[in-house]
Amino acid sequence: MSLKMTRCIVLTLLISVFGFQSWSQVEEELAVLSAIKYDDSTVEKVKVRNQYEHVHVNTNEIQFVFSGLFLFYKSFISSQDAQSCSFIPSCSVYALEAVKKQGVLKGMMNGFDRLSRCNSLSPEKYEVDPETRLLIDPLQVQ
Amino acid sequence: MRLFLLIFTLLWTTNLCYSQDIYTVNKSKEFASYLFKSGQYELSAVEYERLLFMEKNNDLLKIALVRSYFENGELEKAIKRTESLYTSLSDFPNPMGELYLQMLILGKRFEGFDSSAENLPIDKEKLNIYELHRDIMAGNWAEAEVKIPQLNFNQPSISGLNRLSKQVSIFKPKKPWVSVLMSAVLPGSGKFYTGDYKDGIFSLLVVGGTAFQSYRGFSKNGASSTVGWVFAGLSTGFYAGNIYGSAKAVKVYNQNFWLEIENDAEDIIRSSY
Amino acid sequence: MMQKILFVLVISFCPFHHLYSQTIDETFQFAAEQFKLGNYTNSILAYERAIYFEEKTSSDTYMKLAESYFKKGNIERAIRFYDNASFMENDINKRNDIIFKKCLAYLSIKEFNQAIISLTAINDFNLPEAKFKKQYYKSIAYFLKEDFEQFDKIFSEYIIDMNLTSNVGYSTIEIYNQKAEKVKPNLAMWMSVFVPGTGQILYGNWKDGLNSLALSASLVGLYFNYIVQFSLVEGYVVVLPWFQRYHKGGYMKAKETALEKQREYRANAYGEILQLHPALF
Repeated sequence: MSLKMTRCIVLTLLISVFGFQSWSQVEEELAVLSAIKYDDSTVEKVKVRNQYEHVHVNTNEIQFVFSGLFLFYKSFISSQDAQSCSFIPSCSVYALEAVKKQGVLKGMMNGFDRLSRCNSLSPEKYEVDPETRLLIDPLQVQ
Repeated sequence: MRLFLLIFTLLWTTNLCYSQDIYTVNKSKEFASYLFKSGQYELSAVEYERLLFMEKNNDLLKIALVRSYFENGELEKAIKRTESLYTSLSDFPNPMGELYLQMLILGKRFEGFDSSAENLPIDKEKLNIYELHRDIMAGNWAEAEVKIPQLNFNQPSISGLNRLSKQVSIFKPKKPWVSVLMSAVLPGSGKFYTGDYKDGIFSLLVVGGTAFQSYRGFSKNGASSTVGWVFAGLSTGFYAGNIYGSAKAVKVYNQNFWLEIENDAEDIIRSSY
Repeated sequence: MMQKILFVLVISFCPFHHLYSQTIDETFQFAAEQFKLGNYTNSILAYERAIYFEEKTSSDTYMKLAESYFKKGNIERAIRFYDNASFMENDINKRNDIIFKKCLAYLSIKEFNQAIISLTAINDFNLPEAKFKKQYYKSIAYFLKEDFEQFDKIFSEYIIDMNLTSNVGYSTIEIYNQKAEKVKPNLAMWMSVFVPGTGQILYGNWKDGLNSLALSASLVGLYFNYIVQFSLVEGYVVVLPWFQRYHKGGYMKAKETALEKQREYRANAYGEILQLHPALF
């Protein structure tokens, strides 16, 4: 952050020292160039617990426990995984949502079914998310 | 005398301006039609709006304007603008009336369609086809099945829709209880019923594997076996999940059939306009 | 009488006359104004109209239309009109300017090869400024393309020509690039293959390093526990796949950590490169 700040200040100073005529042109050029991110992944990383907003919305103790389990799984186990889930949203997100919306029993059954469908054997049945290349399978509860 | 002189010069200068003006009605029409033909619908819409401001009652401009919005993918806007262009439905000239009906059908505005179809000056044969399209877009296939044989098969869309209608009439929806029963007896088999063989086999292996491990745990260490309990839990979970999933698979199977029919029908209808 | 004359005069100055009788020149004025205000759709429409009716469109008009499209985010169309503009332009300096803009447009949509190709049209014979800028843009394109060998070659030429060898920014770029080259993603990976977590820790990712170590250790423990309790085969079938999965996850992550570090250095270097724009000296 501070590095970026100083860079900005130095840049502005350098530009303002330069003649007024093409000042704006150079500034525009540099704005375009610096907008080309050399590396998109250097965008600040978001902590697991901030990635999934709905985790913080719990209406009872059971949901609270499941959310806790989910967070533990996401931060310490899923984060170390080589192959990730073949779906978007991932099985853990899907299961947590299902438990919250359908109750513990139905939700867990739905989650287990999702896990056994997470085998990448039938990609033709789902649409592919262009960004992540994962199969789209959102929770659909009437 | 001086007044006349002034008026004269005024008229003269205006005329002079007109000679090199590129905002005249004719030039604007030419430019707008160039924009439309080159596919720049967003810009051609702006241009036609301006032209309509100058020639409020030009039907050709009205149609071109609405078409610009329509081609630019702004269906709702196109419908609203059409409605604001005429005071009553009977004023719609023929191509406009048809365009309006087409947009109502594609936008699934069935109430609007029903209230305006009869009042628009459109010939009966074409209206029948639009009514068929309306029924199909509304998912009313029973009605469509009755109407299709009465229509002229040379019209685009009719033979395609007839094919879809036959598919619908022979379709037998799968029953959830069958797959639930099958999965309860043999894990995974319910998914065979809907044609999801790979998911079925996978479920069978997972349920079988975890059940076997649980059996191994219990037979080794008795009822206090952690491994036994852990795998028993997993096995039960996967077993129950598979039953739930089999019912869901049937639902999805039936839904997908209708989804595909709907998409095909919309494609056929859209391409006939 | 006087009143009537006044009325006629007022009428003749009334704005609707202007509205109804706009010439091409006025259209240009309007377009330029709209461009300044940031109403790019309006300026595009006005320029398109002027171009449609003009007998011979000047390079300047194409250029402005291209700028409007660029600002509106329709880069492909902007490039098309930059092309038109550069074909029509006879003044070498102006033509070079247009080509640089086109190159910038290509860079902004990450078409780095196209950007490099477009620069070959720059005429820098006896024009040192154009030459410097060409070198600079070319090196940026190679840097973003991650062809660092070419970048080093062209950028160092640029630095020597611009007499910037003693510039602090330049030495910072060198340092960052050297640091980036020193990062060894494969070393990190192999370290984690043998001792899970060490590769991540090597490049400062303690959380994932320790996490991976603990997870792998507990899976190994579970594996031996299973072998002792049940059989070798069951340990192999039930636990080993999980160990493999997270072990692999660990060493892939070690490699990723190293690559991230590398990208961070490169991004810092890129920030410094932007400050050596030829116009700033």
